[in-house]
Amino acid sequence: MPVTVLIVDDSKLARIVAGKALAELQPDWQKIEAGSGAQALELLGKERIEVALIDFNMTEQDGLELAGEIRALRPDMPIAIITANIQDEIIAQARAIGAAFIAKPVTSEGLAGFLTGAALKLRSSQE
Amino acid sequence: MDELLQQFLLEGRDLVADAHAALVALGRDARDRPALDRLFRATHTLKGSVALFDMAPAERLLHVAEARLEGARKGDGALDEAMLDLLMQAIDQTDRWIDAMEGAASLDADATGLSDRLIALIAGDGETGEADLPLPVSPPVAADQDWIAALRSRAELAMVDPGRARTAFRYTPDPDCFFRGEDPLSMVENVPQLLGIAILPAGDAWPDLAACEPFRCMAAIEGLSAADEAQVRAAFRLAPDQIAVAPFNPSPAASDSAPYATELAATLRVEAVRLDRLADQSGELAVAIRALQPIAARLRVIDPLLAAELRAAEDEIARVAGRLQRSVAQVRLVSLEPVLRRLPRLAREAAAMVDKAIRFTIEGETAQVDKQLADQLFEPLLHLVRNAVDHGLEPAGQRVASGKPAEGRIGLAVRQDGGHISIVLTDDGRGIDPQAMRAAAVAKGLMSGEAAAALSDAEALHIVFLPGFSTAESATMLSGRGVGMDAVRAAVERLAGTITIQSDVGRGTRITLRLPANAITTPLLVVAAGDRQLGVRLDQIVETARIDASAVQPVGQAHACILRDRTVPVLDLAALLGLEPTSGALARLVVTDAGPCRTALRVAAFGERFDAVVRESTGLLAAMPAVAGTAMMSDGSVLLVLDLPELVA
Amino acid sequence: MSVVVEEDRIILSGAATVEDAEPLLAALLEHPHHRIDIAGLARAHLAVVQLVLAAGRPVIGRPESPFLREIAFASPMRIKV
Repeated sequence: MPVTVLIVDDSKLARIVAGKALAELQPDWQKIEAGSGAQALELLGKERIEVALIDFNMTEQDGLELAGEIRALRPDMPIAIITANIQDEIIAQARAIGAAFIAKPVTSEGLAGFLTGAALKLRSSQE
Repeated sequence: MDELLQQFLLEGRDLVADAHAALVALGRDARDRPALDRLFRATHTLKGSVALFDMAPAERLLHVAEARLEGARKGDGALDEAMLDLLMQAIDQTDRWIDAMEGAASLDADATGLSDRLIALIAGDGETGEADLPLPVSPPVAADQDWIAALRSRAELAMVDPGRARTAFRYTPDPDCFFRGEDPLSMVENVPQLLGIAILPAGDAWPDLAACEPFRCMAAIEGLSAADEAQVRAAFRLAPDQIAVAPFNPSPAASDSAPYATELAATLRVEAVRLDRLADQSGELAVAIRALQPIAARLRVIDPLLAAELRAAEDEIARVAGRLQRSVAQVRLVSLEPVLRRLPRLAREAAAMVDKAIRFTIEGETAQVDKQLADQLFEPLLHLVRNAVDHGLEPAGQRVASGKPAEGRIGLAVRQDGGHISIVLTDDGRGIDPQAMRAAAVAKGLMSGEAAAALSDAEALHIVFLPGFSTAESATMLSGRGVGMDAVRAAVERLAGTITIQSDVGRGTRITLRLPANAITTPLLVVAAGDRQLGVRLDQIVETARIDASAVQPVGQAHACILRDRTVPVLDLAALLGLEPTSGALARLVVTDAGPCRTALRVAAFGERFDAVVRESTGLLAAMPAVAGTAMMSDGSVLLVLDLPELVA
Repeated sequence: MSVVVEEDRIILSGAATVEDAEPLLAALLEHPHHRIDIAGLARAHLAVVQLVLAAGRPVIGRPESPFLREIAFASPMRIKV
């Protein structure tokens, strides 16, 4: 069964960019988009979602907060925070919840490591 | 003594000195950020160091001091004067505890109380107290030191030039990091100016392959870089919780973060005694070469050409020997810092005993001098400093009344000029009144009224160096009776130095010590007394004179002569040494100012002048009052070198 | 990257990613006496390098990458040309 990736960003453009990079690396994987944290949580409740890519800089709720909430629901889910400038404090918080970092704009190069790790993780937890 | 403790004493005091210097800088400018950082580092490292010993009160105190400093660094406001003073007390207290560890190998029973009191004051002052920085179970610094010590011995890093390495790191990725897409090795590859790494099992050893999980990280990476700490840290920005970075010094002695590590080969510690021997022997070589001169002179009669060749060879050997001596002298140069760094604390303690507040500043303490000089300077300097505290500075009330800050200023400045070093001790106290000095000297029967009146003001100040002189009305606990300024002068003169004093009444006193930075060889003049040859230090001789014996006139029980329109007492060297007095129509005089007044010593003959290593007398010779030491002559015989100040005193 | 097993050696070549750790581990377990040839290695993920080190086998070949040659596999005890 293909892996489903949730892409959370309040910019549609940014979601497209991330989606393209994902398709390049893992053409078989599916994506689900959310424009806000609230929507993301809602989708998470009804869809089968295995990986989350979350933009840090969102107006309603910042990505870290959302990642924290998702982590509480899904302790093993591979989560990455997408951000353009990384402050040390954000790094520390992201690490505390076990999220990876992906540089914005998302490129296939920047995304590759995280997706590889996520794939390994999903595989090893299936075994 | 336990090697670890020894190292701790050495480095603990270094750190105390470092902290002092930073505190002084902060005293001048509370916003001096580098000084604040330096103070923080010194305190932090000191805390880690004391944690290795049974010094819990010190550890707790430094921990709170560190927390306070951390607060200041984070911008909780500059440290005010009161806080700087408390921090100074904390460092001073730590210094005393280091002394206690050296002496009794343990802290006094009152250490806990002292520590608690200071902790309450430091923590109570601001909101940055103990709560902000919980005392870790195992102090991070000690852990740092462990990994750095281990890093130094990694075979993988053995090829790295320790002279280039500036920063060491240890990166311990978590087992799941691969799943987040991290490649720790590529992060390490991005460390600027990477010199070498060691990829190590995160645990004690690599697990059996059969037990390995392919995607679990089981490695830790240590490495060295030529970049600075901040640059290396930046490469690990994304894994700040898994990285330890520390400055790396090839010699742990100079390091503030790796004090107990094994030493790399870049520096070599040598026993001082071996160095002394090397210095002696290189000096002896210079002297031994001189034996060639008379041979060449005799040879000239027989074979002038061969004699010339011998002279040329001798010149060459002498030149090389001279170079060798200079190299040895270089090796023996040590920083004055270890000597001077103890003075501020002792001065503050001295001040506290007489209820005075002082501010002590040191400049140029890193000047390099011969080891012997450094070893022997502490006592006289301490004496001078205590004297300044005790007699120089007025009580606070009196200072304020005369428009001075309540806190007395004492400054110690060291300057190197060529082969000499000058140490200037200043205070802003009451100064010395030359008129009072003259009166006191006469009152104490040290000189006649006329003699005193004949002294210029500048000369009158030097009365303070006369044995048994004190300007203070009463003896105090600190400097005791007689002040011991005469002892200070004697000590300085033993080091072939001079001491002078200047003063502005009401404004302060300035004492200048001038000493040769390299005290290895001493120029000597050989003189004869009876059938003996003796050495006299040339720098203690004003002049030599040959006068008609009849010009030496008996004056009461003594003798005197007129030299350059001045009446000079004449002492017979042979008689002083218990030998048959010198006779003859010609009186050969060695004139010296080494004693309380200009004195001439009558000797039987003048011999050669030469430079020699004067060794302090030991054993039987030490008991002979007039002997300062021994020197080896060109023929290998031992020359006794006279202690003129003592002889003519 | 590829993990190729030859008669007496396991040859690692190209860019070794984290996923290559799995076939490498399998090869190492299957051929307990094979040496590891890294001459053709261009890049290596720590997951691969840590297995090479944990195997404790003779490592042969000098990779072209200065980082791999002089830093990651720099130990004089490990490199045998």
